[in-house]
Amino acid sequence: MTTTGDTRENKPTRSLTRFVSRRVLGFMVPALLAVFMVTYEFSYHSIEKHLNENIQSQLQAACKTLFKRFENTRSWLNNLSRNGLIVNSFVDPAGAGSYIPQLFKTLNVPGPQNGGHLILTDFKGDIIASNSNTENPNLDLDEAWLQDVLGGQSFERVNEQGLIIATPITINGLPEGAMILHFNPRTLSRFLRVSTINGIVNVASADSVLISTPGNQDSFMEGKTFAQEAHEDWAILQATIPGTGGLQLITAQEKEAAFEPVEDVKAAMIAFILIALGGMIISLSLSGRLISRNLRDFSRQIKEIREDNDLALRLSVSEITEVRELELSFNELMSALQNTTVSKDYIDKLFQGLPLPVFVLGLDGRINKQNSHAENSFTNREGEPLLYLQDAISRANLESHQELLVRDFGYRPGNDCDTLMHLPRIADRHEMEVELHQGHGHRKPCILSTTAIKGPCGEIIGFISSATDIEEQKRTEKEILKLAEENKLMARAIEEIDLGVTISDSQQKGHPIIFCNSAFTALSGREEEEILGHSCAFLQGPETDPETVRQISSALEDQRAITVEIQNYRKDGSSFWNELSLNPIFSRTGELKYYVGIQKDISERKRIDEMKKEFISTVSHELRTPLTAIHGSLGLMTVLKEHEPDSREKELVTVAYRNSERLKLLINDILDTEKLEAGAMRFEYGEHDLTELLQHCVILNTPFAEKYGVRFEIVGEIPGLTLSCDKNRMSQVLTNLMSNAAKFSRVNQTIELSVTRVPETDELQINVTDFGEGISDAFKQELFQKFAKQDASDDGDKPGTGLGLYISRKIVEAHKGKLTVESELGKGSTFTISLPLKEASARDETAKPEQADYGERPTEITYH
Amino acid sequence: MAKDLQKLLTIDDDDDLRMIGALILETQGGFAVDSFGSGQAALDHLDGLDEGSLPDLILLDVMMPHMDGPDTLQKIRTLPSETKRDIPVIFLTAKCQPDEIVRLVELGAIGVIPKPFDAMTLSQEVRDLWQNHLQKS
Repeated sequence: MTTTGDTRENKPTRSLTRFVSRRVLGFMVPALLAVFMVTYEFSYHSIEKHLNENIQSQLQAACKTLFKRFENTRSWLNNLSRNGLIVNSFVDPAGAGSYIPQLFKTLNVPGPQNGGHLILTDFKGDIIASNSNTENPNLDLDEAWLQDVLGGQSFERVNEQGLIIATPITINGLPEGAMILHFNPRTLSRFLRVSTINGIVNVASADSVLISTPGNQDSFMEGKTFAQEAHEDWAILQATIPGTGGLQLITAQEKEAAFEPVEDVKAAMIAFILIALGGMIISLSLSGRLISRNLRDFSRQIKEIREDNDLALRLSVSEITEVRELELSFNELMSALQNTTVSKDYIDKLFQGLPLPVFVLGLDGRINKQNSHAENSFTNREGEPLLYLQDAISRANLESHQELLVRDFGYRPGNDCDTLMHLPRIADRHEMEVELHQGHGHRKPCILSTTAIKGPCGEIIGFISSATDIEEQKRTEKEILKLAEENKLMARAIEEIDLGVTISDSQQKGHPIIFCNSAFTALSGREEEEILGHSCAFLQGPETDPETVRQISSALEDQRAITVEIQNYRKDGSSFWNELSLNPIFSRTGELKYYVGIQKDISERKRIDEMKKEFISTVSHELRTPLTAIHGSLGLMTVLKEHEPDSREKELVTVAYRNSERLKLLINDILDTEKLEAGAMRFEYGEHDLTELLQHCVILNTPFAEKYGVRFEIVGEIPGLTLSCDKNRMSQVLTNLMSNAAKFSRVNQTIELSVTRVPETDELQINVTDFGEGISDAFKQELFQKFAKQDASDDGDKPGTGLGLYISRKIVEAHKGKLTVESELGKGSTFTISLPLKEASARDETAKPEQADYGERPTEITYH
Repeated sequence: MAKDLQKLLTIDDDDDLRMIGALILETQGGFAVDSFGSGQAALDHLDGLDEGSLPDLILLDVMMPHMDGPDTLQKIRTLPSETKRDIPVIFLTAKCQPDEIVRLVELGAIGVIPKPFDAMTLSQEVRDLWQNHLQKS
């Protein structure tokens, strides 16, 4: 831009009017002159031709006239010379002397102004008679005429003395004399006068002018020698008149006079040219001044816009259509420029802010522009070719970008638009691994990605290259290779492992399996092609627990890992127990990509478990019968010995009874556990008042309180709620919690029962709080598991089966609640039963139609 | 050194069982029995005894809270008095798989008596193990 501006400013300028005038006149004046010259030359030549033709025809006519006149005169003279009288005069010369002179005096030469002398001579040339009154001229007749005339020929001679025409007079064929007609120069001019001719006619003998028409210049005067060379500005034609003895007819016309009309045309044309030029100059200066005034206004307005530096300013419009169009176009351009400037700024910021080095290259491979990232990272400079080492290994292979362009984009300097579009090898994008210089001999391996920038018709106008740092990538490449080796090992291990392994694509619908190992094909009884591309669902069958399937679906939906035991089926329909573990694999961006499934056939373990459970269940049941007998007997003995004095026997019976009671409780707990685990425990739901339930439990556990010297107390306000639950089971839970609390409290401590409502989670919480020893964090983890007993507190005074909390948790969970604990060592523990306040379950709707009173949503816990 | 078995010390966390055990050994075996509810209580008792009134044999329950049978045995074996730390120990346990019995013997017990013990034979079993132990040493 700047360069162009400088050039313009350095160039001398001139005003529009002068510029246009110079251009127009510079062209028009020579053009007009040329037209003038051509026209002039043409008319000059045509007039000249016409003039010559005119003179020629005049000359010929004159020649003809004179020739005839000579012929007539000659024939008259001939006739005269054959006249009997004249001939007779030679026969009778004596007699002739009397009438011949008289005859001659009457003879008049025919013709216009006759004045010629008619002379009769003898054969010696002596004059016999003449028609002239004056003395006879000296005819100066020489031998020539005698020869001609005496030879029977007629004779003509013309010289400065005049014209002589002589015809012989013959008698019997012999010449006896001659008739001579003589014109002296004066009479000759009358004789030769030709009226048909205009202009100047000269009749000349060989070297002198005989007659001349009046008004001639000196050189044409009679008696003067005629020299054609002396009359260049005259149009002269000469013709020899035959039969006149060498008479020449000369016409001359002054050219100046002849070309007078041409000169008139010339003058008229010059005048026209001058008028045209004048008019042109006037109109040019007028229009030039008008336009330049508008243009000056225009430029002044533009200057104002520039000085204000405000692209939003617009020009006021002129009254001249073209200028107005220009100004409107300018305004539109300004709008576009304003937009472009804004977007250019934006693009420039974007370009500069790009987090990777970017170069914009011209067609010659030189860097037109590079962003700051590129400038800071590499030693390449704008205006220079982008240089790099193409091959990281053979570093000597230096290649300029131009070569790349030729090779990969098919570009060669000078390729025009069409050629570029039809080049077969042309590419839109090119990527190559290179090393860019960082200065101080450092080089950075990069991926240089080059894209062609295309013009409106698809022609390449430049290139944009971005460099991606792959140094880190390079460094890790070795590690990757190592990993690949390890991966091979792992793949081998996966193939060999005894566990079924599947990978399913979580991004495709239905999570199709994309990998499975041979253990899985064996496990599922299917060929690999029957597995790949299908969902794991083919493993399910009639006995598959829908609840487990639902748990899996829910985990997949939440993108969680899950481990379940599920009954699956082989292709042949046989079932097996599958310990299925599903683990989500996420991409680096946190997107779920795959699920890895680990499957283990645990049918055998399940079978043994089942057998064990069944065994325990059977044994426990079988134990109950003898136990009942023992327990009953001992109870009876205890009662019988109640009023007896204390004795060893009485003590032993009491011990036996107490321990048979313990055994009974233990067996009941084991059976409860089995039932809960088998899902066989029946719950008898009913509507129970919360306050009543709690009070019932306090009364129920009074013996415990007395035994451990503690006190149960209901604290705080109990909301007036009806609890939908199995009263006995819920009491069992509360009793368990309360007895535990009693066991681990110190004497005289209070155990608090309270109820809180949590609106956030819509829960009701029943809390059993003791201020006893508390529970260690380690034990909290296993507190609710089977046979969990805390060593520290489970001494002989505080017997327990280790099943109580496990059973309690299971019962609460069956009520769709949660059993949790908070505890601090030395300060006590709080066990909390959390139950949902609202619940819309199928059981509520079907089992308790009378609940309709409590609203549309049947709940386990309702207000009253 | 031939010595008659007279004084026994029993350790069991279950009150009823401790009482019954002591009763059986006193009435059936004619032993003088001191019984304690925890290993620590027994150790404290031993610590306070003079060399002459030490028990001849200790019957130790394996599963006890805080300090179980093997731990208690370990403590006894590290007592300062040589005579006290050499008192023979018999384990009583409900877990009576052969592996467990071997483990307990290796810990330094002279024998293992499985629970539930028989009131008729318990005293004789104790006496047999004692004799056996004497013969070995």
